[in-house]
Amino acid sequence: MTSSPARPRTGAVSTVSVASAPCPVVVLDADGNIAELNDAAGALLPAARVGQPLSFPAWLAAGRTRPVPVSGEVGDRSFSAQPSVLADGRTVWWLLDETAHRSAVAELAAERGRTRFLAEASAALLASLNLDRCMEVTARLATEHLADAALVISPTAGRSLPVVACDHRRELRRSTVSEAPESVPGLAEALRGFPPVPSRWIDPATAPDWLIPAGFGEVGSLVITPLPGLGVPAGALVLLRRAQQDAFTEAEESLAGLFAARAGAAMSAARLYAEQNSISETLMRELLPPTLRQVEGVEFAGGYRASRDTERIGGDFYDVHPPAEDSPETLVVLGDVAGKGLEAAVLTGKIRNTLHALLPMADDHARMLRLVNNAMRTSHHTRFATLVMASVRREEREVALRLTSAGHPAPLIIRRDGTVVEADTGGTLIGVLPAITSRTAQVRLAPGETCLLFTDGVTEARGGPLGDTMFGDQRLKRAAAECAGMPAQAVVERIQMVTSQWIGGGRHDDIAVLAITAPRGAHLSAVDGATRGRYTA
Amino acid sequence: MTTSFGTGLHAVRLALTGDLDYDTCGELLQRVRTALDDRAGADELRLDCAELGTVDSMGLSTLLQIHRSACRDGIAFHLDDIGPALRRLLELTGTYEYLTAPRQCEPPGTQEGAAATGAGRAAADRPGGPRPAGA
Repeated sequence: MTSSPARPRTGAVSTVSVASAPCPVVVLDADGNIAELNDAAGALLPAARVGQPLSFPAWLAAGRTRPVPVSGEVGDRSFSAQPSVLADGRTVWWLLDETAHRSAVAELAAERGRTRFLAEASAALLASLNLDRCMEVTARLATEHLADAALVISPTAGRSLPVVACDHRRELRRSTVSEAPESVPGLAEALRGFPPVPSRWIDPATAPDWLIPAGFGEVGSLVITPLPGLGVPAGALVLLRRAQQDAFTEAEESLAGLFAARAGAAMSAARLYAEQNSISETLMRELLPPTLRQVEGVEFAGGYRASRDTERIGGDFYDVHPPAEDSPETLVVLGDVAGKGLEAAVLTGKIRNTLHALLPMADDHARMLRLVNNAMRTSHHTRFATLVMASVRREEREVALRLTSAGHPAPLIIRRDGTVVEADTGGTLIGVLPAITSRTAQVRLAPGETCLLFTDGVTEARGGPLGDTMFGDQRLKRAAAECAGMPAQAVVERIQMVTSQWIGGGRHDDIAVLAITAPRGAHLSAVDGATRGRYTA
Repeated sequence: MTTSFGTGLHAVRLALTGDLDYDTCGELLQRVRTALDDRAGADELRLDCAELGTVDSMGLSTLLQIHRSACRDGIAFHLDDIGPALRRLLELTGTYEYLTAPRQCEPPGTQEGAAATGAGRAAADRPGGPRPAGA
């Protein structure tokens, strides 16, 4: 066959080669009439008659005036027609059957399309670790590539099913359906991760109304595929096609399965991430310092700057416990737990709860610290906490403090004249040593004077002109001296501002500061000035 | 954080160099364990702190851990050449006496303290173990 188109140059031989050619051959004269056709061509084109114009197939009839290759279909087979122009003006059209080749090409293109779809799906699904977003992307991609409408259903321990639907107009809708999964054949199985039920086994007429988007029309076919997760089922994917569309082929169902595997993995990862995140968030929420205010005529202000390094978050805490039935004074605790991250967060929660429970013991700091130490000690690590406790009581215009440090930097007392002194307290850190000691300081604050509690995140903050110098005790004392006479909130903001400037853009641990201030208060004396009057709190 | 070794007949000596903090404390713990495992008969552990840089709270926690393990195994624990910064940290946290007292493995005042038996030590190191009523 390869040599045949070249032969006609020799003239007479052509007749022989047309008749014996292994493919359909049609010879047209210069006017487009059929001059000759072999048996194969006669069988293929039963209507063709020698001497009459070629009218079928139309694609060949249209192309006969120009001798360039054309192609098209005859019945269910595909042909390409290759022309050879003879010396006498006639054209020989060789019809080559390309059905198998075409179908291979079409299959290759389809396979490439499927691969591209799956790659795009993976990219789109992995772009988000948000479960809701993953469900939406899954529903949307399924509608764009696999079906007329799609629903993604989450497994749930509750009574209602979380559903994300993408309808035939590509509109996303999320809802919860209070129906048992058993109401849809195959759905309960898919949600438990059993293999998909072939679509031909599911009667679309049995689909309940909630499964079918509004205005969708009659459902022609329905596929339910499990979304296999990482070890556990991640949900189910329901694909719907309208009655006028073709039903799902086996290849389409297997593609849906491949897509479901990717979607399921992404949803499972998103779910795990969400769970982990919610654990961290819960812990962090517990760790967030309380909003402080004036209690019993004493100003309290706190400032907490968490480390920007998420893995370094977790060590510092403070609490202000107002007076209660069993504890007549306000108890302030500010502390720092060794280490970072989850373990530190857990330890912080433990020590805060223990302190809270021991509030009635607050009249004896040393005893309370010993009890906390005993409760915190454990044989499997030597993590410790350092903290400072302050029992606060208003006495007339002054504030009486009992301050006890347990291995923590001593609080600074800021006097009205700008003198800054360390409270004379010290003690052992909490949680490791079998026996601890502590020394409590008694301090009185006159109006406008402040007791400043802080964690070593302040003094150990690295920065300054060289970027690696510690802020240190002396700079803190100088900054504190500038806060003489300020309200508590202003003291905290000032110290935070100075340390922030020192740190610049550098890394730092948690920083916590807390100010206890005796309010200067306006004197609300009676008009004549003779009575004693009151002071605003 | 680097360590160098020197071992006497029954002593393991490690010289600590650099900062002992959140990032390096795990390594020190590992090295001390390895060093003690290699000298099965050792009854003394000396950490030379002359070249030691900054020690943060996790660093201190690690020193306490090493001290606790050494005591449990009947190994004497020493910190040599404590610099001013480390001394200040130990004093602030009330751990200086505890970490530098010779062979102080039991809480003073514990009933079993003087006997220094293995059982007494283990009991003292448990949270629920005997403890002084006050300190």
